[in-house]
Amino acid sequence: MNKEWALTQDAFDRLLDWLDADRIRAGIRYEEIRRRLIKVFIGRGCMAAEDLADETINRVAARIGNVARDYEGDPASYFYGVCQNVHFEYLRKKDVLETREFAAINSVTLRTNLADDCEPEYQCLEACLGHLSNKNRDLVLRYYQEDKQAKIDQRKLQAKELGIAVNALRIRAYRIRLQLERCVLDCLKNDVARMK
Amino acid sequence: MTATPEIQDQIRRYLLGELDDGSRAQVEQKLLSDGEVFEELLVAEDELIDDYASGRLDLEERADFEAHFLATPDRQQKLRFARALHRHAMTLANELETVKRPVMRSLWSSRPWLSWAATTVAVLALIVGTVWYLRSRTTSPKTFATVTLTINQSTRAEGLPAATVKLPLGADALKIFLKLPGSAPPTFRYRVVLEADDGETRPLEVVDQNGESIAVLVPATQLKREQYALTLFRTGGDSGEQRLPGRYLFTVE
Repeated sequence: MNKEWALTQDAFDRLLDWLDADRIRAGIRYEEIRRRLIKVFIGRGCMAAEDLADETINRVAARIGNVARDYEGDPASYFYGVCQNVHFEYLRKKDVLETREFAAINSVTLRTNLADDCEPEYQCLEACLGHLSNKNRDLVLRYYQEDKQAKIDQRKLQAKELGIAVNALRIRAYRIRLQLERCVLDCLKNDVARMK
Repeated sequence: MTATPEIQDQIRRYLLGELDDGSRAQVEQKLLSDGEVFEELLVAEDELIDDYASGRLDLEERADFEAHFLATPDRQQKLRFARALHRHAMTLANELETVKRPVMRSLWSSRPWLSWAATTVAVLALIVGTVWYLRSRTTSPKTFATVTLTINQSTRAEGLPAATVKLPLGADALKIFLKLPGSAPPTFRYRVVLEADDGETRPLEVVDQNGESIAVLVPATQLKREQYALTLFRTGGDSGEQRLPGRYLFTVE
């Protein structure tokens, strides 16, 4: 196919129609698929995961006429097949020099990040905890407080107090943590912007 | 969420890059088509990062984590967040412990008989505790802060910058991973000596090892704000004990 092909509004609309007849649900589905494709590429160690996910979507959209007519089954599986090809081509294109540079950059970044302390994150976290509701703040802080067996016991007790299963508590804690993590990232970006 | 322990285990191994191509493809397809499996992956990512940040991964998992999982800046940022969260939670736990003490003190003064009972219990506890201590000799720390060090073979004083560890540690002990200079057979044995700024030295127990690195523990109570150097001795092969050239440096602030 033509690799220079750009996503047109018409192709995008038809792609959404294929994903779901309802435009709002189709938009949600599109975002879900894109987000998951990014994770798949990250899982394969690709630095340009977002670009590769977009390239996958573009390729599906480029053939949407045939796909919508002939393909049966979960659209996610079709995207997965195309994602395999995109990844294969990505690996083929990466020449030795690029791989070396990439590894060197990544190794330096990793060393720097591992050696760094987390003081800026810590300061932002303290501020972000203040934005949570009391209930959510208590939940997340209790959830992460103990270690090893004490942690397991603590989480069982916490789940019992809330009247939910331990796994449901796990998901709830994850969602609050995600809010916190996004808040900390915004806070770090604002700090950097202030310093400029 | 319906993720079974098998799926949870498979996802964890996927994240560590431990699956073969076929199993990896299976996981990826589930990730794309099943929202619950995808959410499980997101939760598992955080849990894995927490385990790494608090030193709960064994050496092999740790190596996989660093080589595979931490390959993107996005995940490295997540690790920094996890470290901050871990530190906050531990600091809070310590503060709660401190608050409990004055409450106990006021309880003693309002009920004098309690102090007699407590004395008796304390004497008994001391006896039991002494026996237990003599039998177990050491108490294992429960929580860890971690740092990974690479050997510094430079003879120049300015050499590589030393890694930094901040006090309060927010954990019972510092787990130090020492990357070995070159791989070595797992049959080799290691001895590690910690030297403080003032020249005081003490041996450290090696708690874990593989061909790539070894891990040692320093209790938080033994760390002061100064620079430390670790010297590594190796036994194995034809020669006797051999001191490895260079030292591992870190600074406690």
